[in-house]
Amino acid sequence: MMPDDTGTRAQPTQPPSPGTRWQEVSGIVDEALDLPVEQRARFLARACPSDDLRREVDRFLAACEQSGGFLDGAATSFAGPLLANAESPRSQDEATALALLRDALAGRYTIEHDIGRGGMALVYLARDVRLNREVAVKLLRPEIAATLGAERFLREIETTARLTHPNILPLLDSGEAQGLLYFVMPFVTGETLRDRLDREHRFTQAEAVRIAFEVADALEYTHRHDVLHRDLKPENVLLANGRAVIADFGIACAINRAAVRSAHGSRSEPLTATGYSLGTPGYMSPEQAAGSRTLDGRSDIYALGCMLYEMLAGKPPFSGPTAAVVRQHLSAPAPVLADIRADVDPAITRAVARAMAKSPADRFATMHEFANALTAPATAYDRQNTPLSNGDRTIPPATAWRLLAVALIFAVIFALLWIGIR
Amino acid sequence: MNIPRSRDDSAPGSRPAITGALRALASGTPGADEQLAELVYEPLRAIAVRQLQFERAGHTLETNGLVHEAYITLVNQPGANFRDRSHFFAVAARVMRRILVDHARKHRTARRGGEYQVVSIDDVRPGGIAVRERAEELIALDEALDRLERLDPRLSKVVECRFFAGLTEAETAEVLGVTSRTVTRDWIKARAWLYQQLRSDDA
Repeated sequence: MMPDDTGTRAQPTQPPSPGTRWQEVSGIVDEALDLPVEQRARFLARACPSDDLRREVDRFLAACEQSGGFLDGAATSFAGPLLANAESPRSQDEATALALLRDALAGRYTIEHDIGRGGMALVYLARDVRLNREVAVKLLRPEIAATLGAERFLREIETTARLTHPNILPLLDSGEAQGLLYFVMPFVTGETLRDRLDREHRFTQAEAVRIAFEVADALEYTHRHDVLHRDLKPENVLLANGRAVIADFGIACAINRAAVRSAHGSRSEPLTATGYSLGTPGYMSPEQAAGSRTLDGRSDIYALGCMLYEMLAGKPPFSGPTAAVVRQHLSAPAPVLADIRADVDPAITRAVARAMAKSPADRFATMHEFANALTAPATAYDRQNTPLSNGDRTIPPATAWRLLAVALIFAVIFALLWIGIR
Repeated sequence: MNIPRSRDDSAPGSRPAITGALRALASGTPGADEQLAELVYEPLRAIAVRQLQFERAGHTLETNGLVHEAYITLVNQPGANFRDRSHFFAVAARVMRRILVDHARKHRTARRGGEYQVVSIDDVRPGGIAVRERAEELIALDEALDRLERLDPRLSKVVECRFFAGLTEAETAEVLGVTSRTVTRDWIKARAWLYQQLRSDDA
């Protein structure tokens, strides 16, 4: 097939012997490639008897120029992740666990195949026998389940079971079988907000605000039921058929809390009481980073503010090593959104800045207020006297140092846990 | 491309079998290349996977190293000669293509037409999206390469050797029995052709 005018991936048609035409073009291109660029035009004028052919040759030579970096590097470095993904070594434990799970679920769910493997859970596509629908069965990794304990885990995820909201992925079932802990969720096709951010980096304002609004709406609902998310991040937000859905509500958090506790080896006052959660600190409120015991909805507001910031700016407000990120959440103002992206409605920029205020008192009082500020950016919000910049009320230096010290301690704990969990 | 997939029980890596197939190939036995392809599919895959694990431990995977390692492991022995090596590389290049594309297709099937179940509990696999896109790109490349093969078989072989097997220009020239200069030009043309096919309708 010759590359044609329309550039479509045409199927082989029956033009007068495309192979012959290709050979003609190919031969001329060969000779042209051997010539210095400045001599090519003269050569081509001689070598191409027809304008048609000349155009084709020109176009092809242009493609030769453009495709310089194309297919650079070997296929395995390009496709390696594919191979790696399909070939993650499966431990004996996992195989045994799967066999046990199949037995335990027999009659209720038929496990078809695995669809995902994370650090904490293995995920299987299964069929709900009774309702004849596809579900995702998530099996906690045996070693995680062991540290977590069934009773605690099942109690924690009851939180999720009680939540019903269109923007929250429901928990369908959960249970324990011979020490294995699993839970069942609807099978959703889509991607995480993280995936999409990785791909597109930043969204249009309308899209970013819509996603943030839907998440805000879900959180407003849970806050009314006295349930905080505490671990909001793009990885926990699914985009399914264009709708934002919060997944694993309370579950990641439950695991994290239990993990923190077990890492401390303490059965007394656990870190969980601080509401502290393990994981990426990218979206963690300053008070959470400082280990505050009295978190409220404003902590989730902060996290959502960070997420909206990232969707608009194309990068999270703070980056760097964990300890540095935690420190910045505590005391550094985020780069002013308007400086990074000028086309965002100033009212939205201000709403983000306010949601991300260091002091909870300076944020929106409720998720409802935040959501409103997102829906009516040009009106209600303008009337409020919010500082324009992301500059928040500065935390007094002494407090900041104390917070920093606490944060560093947590950073170390993270690191140890991270190593431990892996 | 019509390389049969080997099955798990193919007792691959058996040197005598592979050397035998190489001999048959050298003497022009019909179907010998297919037979060799089947024999090396599994060992090549295993080597690639192992090297990838190595890579994840902080080392860089080089396909070139991979195919060479396969040759040394599977063939190299006193009787093997220069022509054997070329034949082996040619077949290994096609097989590498098949292995990667098979994985891409499997990935796509598992993800149900390009979408996949979101597993948010702890961030899925790093680079999940990249994997999906790569699967799609690889499949598109494979299809385009089939078309190129019909148009100009040598160009598609050059792509297999250079891209899929990571062979150098000199090695590719050796495998295809042409000069290095020809390989250089073919490689430029093949890339341009594929680029037009794959990129032009992306926009």
